[in-house]
Amino acid sequence: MALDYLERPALVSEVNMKTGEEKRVLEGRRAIVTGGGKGIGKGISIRLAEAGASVVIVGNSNMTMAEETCALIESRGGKAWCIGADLALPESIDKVVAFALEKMGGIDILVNNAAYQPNRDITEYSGDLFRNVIDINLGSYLRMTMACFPYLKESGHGRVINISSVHGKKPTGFDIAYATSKGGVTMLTRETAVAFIRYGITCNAILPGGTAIEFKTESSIKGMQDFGAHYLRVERDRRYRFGYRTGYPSDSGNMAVFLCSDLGEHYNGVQMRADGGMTLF
Amino acid sequence: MAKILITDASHPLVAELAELLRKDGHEVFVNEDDITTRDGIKALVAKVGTPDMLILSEYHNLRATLTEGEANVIAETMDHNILSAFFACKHFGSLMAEKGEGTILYLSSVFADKASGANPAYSISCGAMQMMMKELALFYGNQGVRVNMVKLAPSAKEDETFDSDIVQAFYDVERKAPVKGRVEARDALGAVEYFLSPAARLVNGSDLKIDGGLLYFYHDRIYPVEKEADM
Repeated sequence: MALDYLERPALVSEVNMKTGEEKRVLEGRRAIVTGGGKGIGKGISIRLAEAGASVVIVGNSNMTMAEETCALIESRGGKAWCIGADLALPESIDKVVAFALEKMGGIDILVNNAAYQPNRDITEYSGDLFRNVIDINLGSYLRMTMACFPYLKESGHGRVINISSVHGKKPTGFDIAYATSKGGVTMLTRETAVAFIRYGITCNAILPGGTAIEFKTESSIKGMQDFGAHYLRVERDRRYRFGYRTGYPSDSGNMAVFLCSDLGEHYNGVQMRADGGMTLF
Repeated sequence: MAKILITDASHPLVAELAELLRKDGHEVFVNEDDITTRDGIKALVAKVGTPDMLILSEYHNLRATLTEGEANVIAETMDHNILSAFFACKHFGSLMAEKGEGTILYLSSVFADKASGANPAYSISCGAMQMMMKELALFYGNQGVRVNMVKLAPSAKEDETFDSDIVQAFYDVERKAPVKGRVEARDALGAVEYFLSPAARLVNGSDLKIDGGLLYFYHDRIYPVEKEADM
């Protein structure tokens, strides 16, 4: 069944308490969302646009979905463009930034979201595959952040959002490279927050828990049989009985809108869990 | 006594730590070669065999900020530590798991939690290895191999490496930490001996801070201490 990205509510506007004036919280802001064409990235792209931002969506593995997301945003009166790029390759970074500048004239918001999760334990990982996961999930975040810095500085309200995972705090039990990369994102977020603070730029991380998306990335048979994956399923079953629900891409999308808006200007270097309390059980 | 492999000789405390461990009767190997390649790690496995304890002391670092540094160089420096730890844990961890006993200890830093402001390549790799440690505590823990981390405050040998006008970790260590003092090799020695001992048989996936309480202290560092005394 196709996911309905418009089903959940969107954080869109803010009200001036004295004048009663209402405006969209990201009106006129310009955003890049890596991996913004599907899953959590799509939920973020759509909600940033709904709140008034122009969006450049960076896709790679499924450009059709990236184009569909752009079309959906435009059909609702927003502005969106998409570009294909393998962000594991350093040379792709400048291409994406140049495209965003050409289309939007500047960058106010960077959402680092692109990720790869092969679901393998340490014995199943080759050095090349492990390096590839680190390059995408952590290296691209670092490179995109540094490449966008001059433009975020000009913005006056620059924002960097790193999409991490609850597995930036708790291990997966089935994917060492993914968890390792997310641990790196935690410290990248803190280092960026400290380095950029004097330029009025904030950097925060969102840590989604299990989220309903179109499809999961590949899983090895051994990985799925691993006790960690089994344990996770059992734990989830227990949580559902007590009212836990799976996350939606809009949960991360609305959090991103809040952190990117002026409402979120006092948040810096934080790790916001968007997991319905899953990791507390 | 234990056979101990320390993976990176460039860590500023490792030479002295190795000497102290040898004095305690341990057999200690200190690696000086690049183990991020297949040949490099194979050569080290052939030389050392199965250790009782693997100490990951990865210490590639680079003074470069995120505002002025070169992204590719920072990424490569960061990757070197992460990949070196990955290869060491994959190969030596498997050997220990086959034997059904052993312990892995990450010799890390408070910069696994605290931004450095001066050396993001190192701190990001420490953050990454913190999650690697937790993941391996799950994976190897039920095969008899415990995996833990120690987070050291900066030592007196690291002023040039980490000093930053933003974070000022050395000022923090000497003025802010409830228990003040620079970390020395003997501090790391205590942790190593503990994690080797039967007293730590249930200690798995933990991080031990050796920082005098630095990470819990965050009051304004420029609060005038002299005036404070006058009040």
